[in-house]
Amino acid sequence: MNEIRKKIRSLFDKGEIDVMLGFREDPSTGEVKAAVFKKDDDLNGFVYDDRCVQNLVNYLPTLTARYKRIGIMLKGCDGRSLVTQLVEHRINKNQIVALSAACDGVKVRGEEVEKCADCAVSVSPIADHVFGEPKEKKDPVYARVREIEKMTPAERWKFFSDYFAKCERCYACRQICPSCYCEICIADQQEPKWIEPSAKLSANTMWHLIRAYHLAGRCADCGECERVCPQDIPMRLLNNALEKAVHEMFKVRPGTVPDELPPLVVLSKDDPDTIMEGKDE
Amino acid sequence: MNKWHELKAADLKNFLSQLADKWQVWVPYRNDGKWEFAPYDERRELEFPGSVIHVSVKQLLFPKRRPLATYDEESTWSVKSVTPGEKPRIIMGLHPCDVAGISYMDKVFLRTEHKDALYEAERKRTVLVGMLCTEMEKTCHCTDRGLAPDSAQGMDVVFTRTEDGYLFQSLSEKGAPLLESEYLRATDDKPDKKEWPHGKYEIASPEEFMEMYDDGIWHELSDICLTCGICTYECPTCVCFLVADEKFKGKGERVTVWDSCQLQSYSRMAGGHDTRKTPASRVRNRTLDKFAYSHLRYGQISCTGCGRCVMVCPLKRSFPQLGTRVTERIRNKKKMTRDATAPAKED
Repeated sequence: MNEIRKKIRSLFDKGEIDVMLGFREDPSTGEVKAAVFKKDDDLNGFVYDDRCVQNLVNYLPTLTARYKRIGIMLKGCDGRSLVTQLVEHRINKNQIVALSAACDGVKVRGEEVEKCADCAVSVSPIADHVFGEPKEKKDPVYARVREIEKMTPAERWKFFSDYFAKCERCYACRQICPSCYCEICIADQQEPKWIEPSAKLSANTMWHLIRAYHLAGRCADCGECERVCPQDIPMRLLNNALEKAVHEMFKVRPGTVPDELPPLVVLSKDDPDTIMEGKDE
Repeated sequence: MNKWHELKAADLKNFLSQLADKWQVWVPYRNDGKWEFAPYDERRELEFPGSVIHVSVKQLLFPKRRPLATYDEESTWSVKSVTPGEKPRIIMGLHPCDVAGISYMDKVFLRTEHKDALYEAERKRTVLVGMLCTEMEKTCHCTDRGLAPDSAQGMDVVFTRTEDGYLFQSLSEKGAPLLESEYLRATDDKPDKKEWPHGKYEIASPEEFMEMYDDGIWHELSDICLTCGICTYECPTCVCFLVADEKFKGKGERVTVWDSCQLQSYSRMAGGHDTRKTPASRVRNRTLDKFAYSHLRYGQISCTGCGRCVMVCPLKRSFPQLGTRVTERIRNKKKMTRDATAPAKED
């Protein structure tokens, strides 16, 4: 951690960054929260360990509008998000100094976060400064999706609708998602009104399915939507099901390869044609 | 001062079942680990939490979705307005901060120039039976907002736990009929007064907050806020709503639905203009609404110190802390101007 702090200090001193996006430990509660460090801030408060769950990439578009150069601390999975944002021209790499340390999994209340089981990259695919050695990664298992696939459609409907009924439509899932950035969200459109604003099962189901579909082939599986949900709706599961489909069809895991466009926005002669061939269920 | 009445713990359910004959009775139950009000059910185990009830009572008086009128496009566009329920009801186990929230909603919804008929009907049929808190949660800070965990202000009936039962006292005409029960006995006992800690989240005056309108601090305060709407939904005094038409197969409803100033869609206007485009402007709106606008408009700041915003924040941020950070900035600014204008010391 000291090595990282030293690096940040020197980036500030050399004027390579104006602000540093990282994590700070609250001395009174011991909680670790996202923080924007400025040059004169005490970097002893800066922490980077397995409590740093939040994906900070989501803050970059706002910060790049306010500051010239931004440093950011990235886990491997956050790096995937950064790749997706660069590919979609949300931010300019010239404004970003990416620091990444080999990640060994993150924990919430002492328990490893579920997404870490299918971790694709321990170090950000794009990084200006790397700390530690990257680890070998295996193909994803999508264990929880496979569990759901075993259910009958009626069981699945029950499983999801019980959760959707609880949705309060606070949009925390949308707000924390780096890839959810439409200028006018489909949920907010007035005419035509695609999704009713009231928090009831039919409208909530619309919201959750549309949200998931809009992220197909783009979601970098940071799992933040599910983590921030005040009602614990398993939203990552929906995204994961789509990610699994994309992975099986295109052998792509979004954000793992720099400059790789989302598979659904490119046409390639090698694209699978299972639907036309009648192989699709 | 009305007399206190004593109720034996063993008689609590009998007493409530008796009330349930005449009134709809709502009491706190634990659901998925969270306390929330639900209709009294004599089969369920009953317990009154000594501190904050997680799901705010707001949604009983001002529900998330309120139908105003129904219409039928197929017949001759007949529009029927919705009539609110009339059966009198008791909400039992409210805490002082809940009642303070309701008093604030009264000021907003019952002001003569813009009376909200649905709210008025809900409010009229409701008797507020409050319970004095026995403890303060980590997030509680009502003592910093001019309240106290054992203040009965605004309640129709107040009760408190004792070693072997409960003590009840009626505080209004609306509350008096509740205590006409053979299970209650007048007593000279009184609940003890206690000292409660304060000073967790102290704030400056509304006027001082207003002076911060153009300050750059709002960018700092909003730097990691997601601007989702959950703190406003759980807040007992956030009362913004939008009006929408929801229809299905030719039949429709005009409804009010909770809205939130933290959401991007809140201030969007024709032509795509938006007066609160940045997160900073939305966080400013909420902070000033709690600590300044409310006071200037209704004579009461709208933070009751219940701490729900802290409990529900997806990022575990503390909204009241934003108030104290603005307050610190105000104090520092004042000190700086004082120092600058003070006459130089003579050696």
